[in-house]
Amino acid sequence: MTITPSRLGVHLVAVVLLAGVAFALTPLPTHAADLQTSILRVQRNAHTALVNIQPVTESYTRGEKRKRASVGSGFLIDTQGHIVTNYHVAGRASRVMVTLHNKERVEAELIGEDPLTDLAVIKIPAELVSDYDMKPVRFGDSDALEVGEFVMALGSPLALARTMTFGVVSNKDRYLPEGMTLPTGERTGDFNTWIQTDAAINPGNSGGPLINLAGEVVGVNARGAMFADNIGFAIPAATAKAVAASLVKIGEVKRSYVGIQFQSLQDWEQLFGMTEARGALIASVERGGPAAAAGLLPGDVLLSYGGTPVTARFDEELPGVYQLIADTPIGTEVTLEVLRRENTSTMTITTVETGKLSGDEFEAEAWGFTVRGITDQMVFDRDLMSKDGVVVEGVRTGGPADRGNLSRGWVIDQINDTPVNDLAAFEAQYAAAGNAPALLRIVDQERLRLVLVTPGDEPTTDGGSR
Amino acid sequence: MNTAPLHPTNRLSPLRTGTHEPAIATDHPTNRLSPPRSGAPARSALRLALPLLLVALFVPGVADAKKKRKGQTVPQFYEMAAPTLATVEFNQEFVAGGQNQQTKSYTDGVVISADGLVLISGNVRFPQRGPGRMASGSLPELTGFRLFFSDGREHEAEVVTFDTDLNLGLLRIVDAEGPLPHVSFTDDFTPEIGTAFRSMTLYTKEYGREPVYSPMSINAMLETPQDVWSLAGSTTNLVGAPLWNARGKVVGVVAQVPMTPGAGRMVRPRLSGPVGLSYARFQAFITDGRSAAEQQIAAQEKPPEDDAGWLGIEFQALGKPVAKHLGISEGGAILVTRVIPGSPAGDAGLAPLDILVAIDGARIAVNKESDLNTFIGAVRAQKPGATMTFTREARGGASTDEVAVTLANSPKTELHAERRVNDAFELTVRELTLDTLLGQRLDPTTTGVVVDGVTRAGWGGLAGLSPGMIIQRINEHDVTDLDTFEAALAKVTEETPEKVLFFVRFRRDTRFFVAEPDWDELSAE
Repeated sequence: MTITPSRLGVHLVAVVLLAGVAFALTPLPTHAADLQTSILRVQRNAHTALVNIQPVTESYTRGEKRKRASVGSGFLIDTQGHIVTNYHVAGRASRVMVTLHNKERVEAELIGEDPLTDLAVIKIPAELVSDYDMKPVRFGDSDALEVGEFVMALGSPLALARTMTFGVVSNKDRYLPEGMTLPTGERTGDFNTWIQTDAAINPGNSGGPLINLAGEVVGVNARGAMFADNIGFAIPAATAKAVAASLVKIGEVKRSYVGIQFQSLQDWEQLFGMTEARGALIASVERGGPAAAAGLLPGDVLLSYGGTPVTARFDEELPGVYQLIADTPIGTEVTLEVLRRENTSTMTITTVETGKLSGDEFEAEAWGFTVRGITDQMVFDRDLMSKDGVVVEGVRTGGPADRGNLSRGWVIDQINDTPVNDLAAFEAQYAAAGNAPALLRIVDQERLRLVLVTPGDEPTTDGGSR
Repeated sequence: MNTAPLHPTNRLSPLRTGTHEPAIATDHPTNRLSPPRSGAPARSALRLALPLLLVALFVPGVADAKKKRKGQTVPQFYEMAAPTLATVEFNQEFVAGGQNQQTKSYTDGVVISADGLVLISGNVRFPQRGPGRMASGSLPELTGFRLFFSDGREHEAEVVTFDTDLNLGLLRIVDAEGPLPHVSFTDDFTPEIGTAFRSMTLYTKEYGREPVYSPMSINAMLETPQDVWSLAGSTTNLVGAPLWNARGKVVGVVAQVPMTPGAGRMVRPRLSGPVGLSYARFQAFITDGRSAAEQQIAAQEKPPEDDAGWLGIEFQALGKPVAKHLGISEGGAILVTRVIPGSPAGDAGLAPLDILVAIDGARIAVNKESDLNTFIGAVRAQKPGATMTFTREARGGASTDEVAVTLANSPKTELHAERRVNDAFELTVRELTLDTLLGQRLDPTTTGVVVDGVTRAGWGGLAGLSPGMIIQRINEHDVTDLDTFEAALAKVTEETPEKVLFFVRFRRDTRFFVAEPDWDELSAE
């Protein structure tokens, strides 16, 4: 961003002059004065809760562990010092520094993270809240929002701390199509529609609050449309409040999972001979998941789940269906009412825990690559053959593994003929191998391969990163 | 709409979203014994000439020996270089925006051997809207290569090979008789700042195919990658255009910063202008390309493809280091990486990770990936019904056993699949072939028809159908093959329902698409 000081000065003068003229000709109407008062009140009440967050995250790129710094926003939600922000801001952070309303910088600790909703909670010492006179903000009722309602976004756009912007709720129920992923690769946004606003939201606003005129947080600013003006998206308070509460309490969000991808039914109830507008179409069933075990098939229509009628006539209703399933206590046996080619039947499914979206990473430095442990969700997201092994995430250019033709995305399930079923086993075999050549057995989709890594003799290269 | 998390590092870098990334086949050590593609008749003359030409590459070509020491004058260079350059015309067929596109495009090529090997830019592999203008879409099918020389000669050519890292390609002229004027390379060259090159391209047909001379020079030495220099001078040179030294030898080629992500990733420094790529850097490519050309000619002398036998495995070179580590006997081996279910290899008991060292008692002399052609050629030389006996060696070299495989008929591929067009839904489908099933990682018993092309604003396109999807049901009618597909659509057209539901499989996903046909439109026609 470039700001030319002189030009900015000229603009300021012009704006001030115009405002002066307008004011002189027509006094501000009463309701406009009320609006101004409301905005100022919100600002005065909320600004002490707003923080600027500077996390340092560890990332594994090109087969090496690296550190990366960025800037985001967050807001204080209680007097214990808990701060809500986005997962893509503070998640996986190794160190989080926070700048408060009074410009003091303090270190915060990561309390919990939830990539599926892109939320995280960090915490500053409770005594600072009172010492620095910080007032937490409270969540409002995002379901009660109306399109056109005034909202303000608070945050650090382009790292410009303590910035307020103003606009309206442009759409309160925006469905963003599937396939959204975070920079760290996890999928997100399954459980909520989004609040769309024209209050200016820019990079750095992430994790900051979207506040209504009553001074309540109605959303957590998280995304912007690329190459667009004033099309920003916030996670609704209804989602954020529940997730934040769980993160504060147990450091994670526990959800049930059945392994179904749904599609809305809008266009084709009649094709299934349906007489009433309810049900959600099962588009895909995860291989080996609970739904597959229960005998559900793509093309089935889920009519009710645990006695609760299910309706996804429109895409906007899909997050609610996923949420309904997620909210089931893990391991519950649930009765499903299913329509298959005009016949209704009852099936039973046992939910499992969603678990972590992705496993931890490890750098096998002497071999020149990084790997990640495989979680149940990764088996599905990456269409892996099984959970056994570790997946290659990056290969250092010119390193031993690169010379052995190891590729990103391949799964290693044996080292020197010893099975490595998880990351711990991989680390143990890596340590045991020392500097001797190691034979890796690779699962590359339906193929099996062998790769020999011989540590040492690495040519110096910057890998094209100049 | 494209949305992204509001990370400062994310949105401020437009390069991450504004670019199109075609599905580039990576250079994994993956090899498939799929049926070979049909080709032109054999050119045995070229094959005989090859050993001689390898030598010819390193001796002065057209340059006058007496002038060599002093160097050539520009007119002498012009006269020497012009007949080696050609405008290469070719056709691309690809799918873009849900529609089949056919374009004619052009690039420059330079003849590098008397038997007609031609070096071209690797950019031709990517969809183009016109000469040098990239389009988005699937990787194109390349056909109809024709070369036009400034002196009026015209030749047909075929693709020999491409190198993704170098972003270079090799063609082979298939209809030339006698030696062709060609350039000579040298790697005896020490580059430094200011080193001058001579370069030449051809004007297009509209301008009479006149050769265009342009001086170039090195304006920066790049330490990484090695043997790559930044160039100053004309930017009219296309990737692959030769750089001559003053003595008439080609010391490198232009490797302009590629427009397509993934292309030329090894040689691409972060520069905006053209770069030079030294001959040392792509010498191996030329040598391997030459051997590939030889293999290609040999393969074409073999029976046509329908007669080639099918084994049904995927494999890689075991490689000397791995072979040594495993105690496999010396001489070469391949590692079976996959056995296709239901294939002759599977029936005969071959399994992934088997190490094969001999066919019918003859050693498989494969020590690296570039040797694999010998193995592929050996299998393809066999007809269906022929029995091949593989020697399988156990680790430690302690024991071997023999596996006899009786080859089957090659399964049909996408390329040769039968296609049917439905005018009402503006939809082309093809029969489901094994390569599509394997490519989408589907069970080989999966049935249906594959969407081959669809008009975006037609009934099928508006419903959301796109190429690659496998249609398995239309309303209540099951679709298992082309005939049931046609029957289902005929039935639907007769019933004229308000909505037509397509039950579709694509990779592991199942999806449902609804078409809302305007039946009146159909009867009006």
